Amino acid sequence: MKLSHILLIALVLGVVVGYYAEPGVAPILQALVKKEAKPVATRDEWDDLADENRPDTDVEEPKPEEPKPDEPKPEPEPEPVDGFVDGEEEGEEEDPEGTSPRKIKRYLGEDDGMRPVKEEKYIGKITGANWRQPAMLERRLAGNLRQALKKLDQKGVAEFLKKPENRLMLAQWELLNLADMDGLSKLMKDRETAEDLALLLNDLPWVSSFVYDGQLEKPEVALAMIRHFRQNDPNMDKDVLYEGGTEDAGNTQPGLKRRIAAAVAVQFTRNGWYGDGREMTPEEIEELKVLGNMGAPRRRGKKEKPDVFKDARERYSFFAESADKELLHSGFANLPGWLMHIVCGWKGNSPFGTATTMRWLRDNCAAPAMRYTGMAFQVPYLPLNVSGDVIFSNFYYEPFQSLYPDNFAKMTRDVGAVCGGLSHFGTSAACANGVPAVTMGEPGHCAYAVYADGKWNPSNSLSEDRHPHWNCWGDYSWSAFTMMTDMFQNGARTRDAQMVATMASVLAKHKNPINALKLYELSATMQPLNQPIWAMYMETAAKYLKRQPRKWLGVNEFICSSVAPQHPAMCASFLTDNIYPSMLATLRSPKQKIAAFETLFNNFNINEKAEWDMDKLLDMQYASLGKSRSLKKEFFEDLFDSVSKHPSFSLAVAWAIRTSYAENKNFGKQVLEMVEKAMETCTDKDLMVAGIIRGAEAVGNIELATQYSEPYVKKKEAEMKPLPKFEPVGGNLVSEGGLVTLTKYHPDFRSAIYHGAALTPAGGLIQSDGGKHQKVTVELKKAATLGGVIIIPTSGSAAGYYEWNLEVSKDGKEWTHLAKLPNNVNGPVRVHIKKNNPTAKFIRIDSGEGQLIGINFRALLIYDNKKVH
Amino acid sequence: MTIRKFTNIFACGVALAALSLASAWSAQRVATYSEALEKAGDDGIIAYCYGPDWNRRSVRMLNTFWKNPDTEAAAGNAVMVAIPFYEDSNHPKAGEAADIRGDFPDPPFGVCPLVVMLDKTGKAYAHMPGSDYLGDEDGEKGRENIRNYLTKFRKYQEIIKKLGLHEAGAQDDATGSMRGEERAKLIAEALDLQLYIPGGAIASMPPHTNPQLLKELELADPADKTGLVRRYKHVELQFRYKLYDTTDGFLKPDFVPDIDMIKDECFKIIKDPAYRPFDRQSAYLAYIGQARREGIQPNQLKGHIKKMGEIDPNTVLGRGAQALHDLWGSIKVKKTPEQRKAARQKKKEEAKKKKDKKIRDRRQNEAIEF
Repeated sequence: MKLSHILLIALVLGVVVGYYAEPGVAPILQALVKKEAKPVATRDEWDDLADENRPDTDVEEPKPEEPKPDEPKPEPEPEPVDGFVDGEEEGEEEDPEGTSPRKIKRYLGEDDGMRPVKEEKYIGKITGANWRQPAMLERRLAGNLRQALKKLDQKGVAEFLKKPENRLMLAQWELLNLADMDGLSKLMKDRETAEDLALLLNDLPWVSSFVYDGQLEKPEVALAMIRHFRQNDPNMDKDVLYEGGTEDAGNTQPGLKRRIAAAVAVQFTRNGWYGDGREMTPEEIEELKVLGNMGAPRRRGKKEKPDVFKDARERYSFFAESADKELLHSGFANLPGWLMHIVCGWKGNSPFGTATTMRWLRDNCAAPAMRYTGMAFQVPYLPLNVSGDVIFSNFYYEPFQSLYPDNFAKMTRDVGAVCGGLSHFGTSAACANGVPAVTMGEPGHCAYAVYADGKWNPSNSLSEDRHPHWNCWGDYSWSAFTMMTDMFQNGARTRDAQMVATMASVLAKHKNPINALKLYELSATMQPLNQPIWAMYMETAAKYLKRQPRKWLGVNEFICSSVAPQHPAMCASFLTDNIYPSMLATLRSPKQKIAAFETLFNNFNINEKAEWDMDKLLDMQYASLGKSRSLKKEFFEDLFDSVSKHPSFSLAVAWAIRTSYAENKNFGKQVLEMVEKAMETCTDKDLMVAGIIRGAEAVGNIELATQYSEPYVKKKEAEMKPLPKFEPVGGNLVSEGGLVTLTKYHPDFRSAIYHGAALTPAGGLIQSDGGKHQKVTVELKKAATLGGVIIIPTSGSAAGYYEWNLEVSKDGKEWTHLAKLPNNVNGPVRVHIKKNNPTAKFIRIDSGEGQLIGINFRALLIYDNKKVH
Repeated sequence: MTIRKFTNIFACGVALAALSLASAWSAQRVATYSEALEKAGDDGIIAYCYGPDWNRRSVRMLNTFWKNPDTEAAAGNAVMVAIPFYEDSNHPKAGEAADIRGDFPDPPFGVCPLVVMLDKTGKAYAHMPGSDYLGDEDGEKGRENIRNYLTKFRKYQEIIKKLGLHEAGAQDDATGSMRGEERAKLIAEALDLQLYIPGGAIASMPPHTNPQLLKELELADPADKTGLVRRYKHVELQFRYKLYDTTDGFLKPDFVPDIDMIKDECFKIIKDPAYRPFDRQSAYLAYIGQARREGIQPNQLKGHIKKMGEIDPNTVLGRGAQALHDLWGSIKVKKTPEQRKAARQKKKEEAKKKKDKKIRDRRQNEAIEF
């Protein structure tokens, strides 16, 4: 090679090396070429920026202790303290009402009693050999716990809970209590399995979360699943922070993979999501009870058995790998257990939950948590696809499915969907990125909610009548969901309360129901928002507090003061389902009942718009009073007093008017007078009037409805801008003074005051809730031969959106179709009946099948066909 | 080797190096979006959006992709700016980030990592979100896409300049004289580049049409002599909804599809090569779908699907044709031709009955005037 060639190569190499080397030659060369070039930040600055979210590497976690095979005792015995069972607390007089405010205050940690305990890292000593005999282990743990509880008073319970070994014992016993012993025995028969799982089952934060952060069903199956995950991921316990690995690889929190495993296993087991991408037959599910070989393919005849944990394993792997590579939202690693359950347990049986789909969503839809509320709208809303197949048919996605193998989310985004697909896309995108989200059912619609900024944020939502598709206790109502959220947000106290309930269960199971009752009471007192604990508490109380009215009044007082203010619907549900059946039977004196109800009324103090089953509660209370009018009046007085202070409770007025008028017209008038009196001190009289009108509409009392609507006709006329111009249909207005009724009122039923005005040219407001077949009915003062109808939708809404039906009737029972309204008209709709004019007393508009949003009218004017006077 | 020869070689080397540097470092990095707007030239701005406090991947890609000199090389003469989007508005650096961002629009759907390519006025002509566009963390796919989009953008600008649309009222002699078909073809070329797609980053089924250029196209060829107006004016979704007499995609309860009308309308599109292949295939699929619902024999269905795929095997529908051929071609139609005929007759009768009912209703409605 000639020197010139060498020099040339050297020069080119020098340039290339200089180009890549930074700092050094490159900046100089760069400056030569482009003087103005200026990096946005130095390398160090970038690194700083990139390092902002690095975990604190100083955190050290102890390695779990290896269980010793010859461990004699499963748990150390707790030190005995003063007797909980044997007597009341020292220095405290017996509280005849059971749960006094003073006690409550103390239990809630405002005093020196029961303070929440934070779950600390603790590794227990129960060996695999112990777990191989779960029935014996359960008896042993129960024995230890009973022994300890025998000596405990309420303070002692607090002290007991402070010791991690005791907490571990409680969580372990709870797990054993929930498990099918045969199944668990079969699982633990394998020595290696038992020893491996013992590592987890001795880890206090893990086992505590496994047992209490969601509804643990079939723990033996969940444990089999976890064992399977561990066999497939030998690195589950090898947390880089334990191992001293670098920050660039590895999850951000010790034990994260274990937590993921627990969340996936609990949710997949609970929902019965077993299989390899298909639904399993009942026989195959039945075979899951044979736990010894679960997860491993086996032969059955000539056919391979399904890989029953394939979907769950893939879900675990997805989150474990994503967490390891730090591909999830930075908040994921610190999610509390229940939110981890929601994220990792996102629909295991849905095409939106496959590993391919979730990987694609993770890599293409990463966004700040709150932005997931808009993520659904990437998907075009298309009910009809390119081949003319409707979304509800099986053919909708078929022309495209070969192009998106296993990636349903991407196909949905490219092809389209309707509400369900949109909401699943948004939810799936959030969960795939480690952000909690749930889909929700609404009347005729599917919405979703995203957990961001410490609360659930509804999206694609049309109604407040929401039913999240995830729940902890089998109650799918939005009220239960928000209460559960509040409960878990106070995580430490909730956990303590759950552990106290476990203590109660130990005693209940071992024939000590009276003391179990005391502990259930304590548990419910510590965390009153825990629905299952109330159920267990009341079930026990129903048996053993039959003759203790004061005790029941105490329970009533407690639940009313602690649950009703923030969660009135759930409080009403507790009362009607769990407490009233026993309490009302126990209280002999009607005065006591009235007092108990008054306690509740006094505690409703928030403006909860969503309509809940208030009628069921009030019906139950009212029925318990017997026939005495004076008692009933006393009841109404308390009720209206409460409404006057908390007008959002005005639905009760509607109930009262309806109930009293239905009972007796005169009695109704007396009740009305009481409402009038209460209105004098009410801050929101309109809402109470809305209650009266709604009640009058329910009993078909035109006079009453008109009487209370009339002032608002003038008010509306004076306040509102006039109705848009419309071409009259001739005839005399016959709707004025009529009665409006709705199938389902809008949750904000205040608009009822303007129902009367909406039947006049002044214009008012008629608002129904969303959903199919919403009906607005007008009963005329007297039957008329119709000449036409004018409908004026509110601005921004449309009449006849999906071709509503206009129907007429003489008696309100037999209906005749009159016309289909034109589609999607934003201005006034004019219906002129030129011949065959029907005679009717009732006219109604039925929104039909397609309608999802509510009906919104400013006016509904009905004319006869006579000459105008 | 003489000294002169050596000097020549050295000079060549220096020239080569300078050339390589010129192409490699032509892009410049700036600290803020407002600075980017000030300095942007014809190659516009390329912005990288990342989430420092919530998305580790996008932060890592600052080093592996964005800071990579190869990315600068791919960015041509564009001005490069990295824009942080903090989730936590109280983060100590959130204020500083807001200054960097200035008037830069929020990423569509908040998705990061994201590359946004903008012209010098700050109007985004391409969005590249997530791994579909940026690939792995090394960013190789991202660079390739940047190069592709930049090439397209340069071509687009060239066309726009030729068309005299680069500045308001700027039509020089060369462009001013360009009228009619020639101009329409140029506009079509620009439209095919698929830049400035409305809706931002996420595009559903292609192709899309730039509404501004479509207007120009209509002006250039008002009689549609080139066929380009109907080609780009055709909106598949509107066509679809027209076939099924719907405005929102929901079929009316008493709607009976008219196979003959659907066939006529679809084949007008299928047979006209002026339409884009995807649109012709969509029309074909609309007919195929209806034919399937009418119970056409599998062999016939297969034949149509095959033909549909052959229009353009590279489109979404072309690529999916073989699988659809196997899937729908295997649908068993148990009826004999006679039975099908009878079923069709019955359906027609039912439709007639419905029609009669409609007439009756109309008569009743005649009594009513809206």
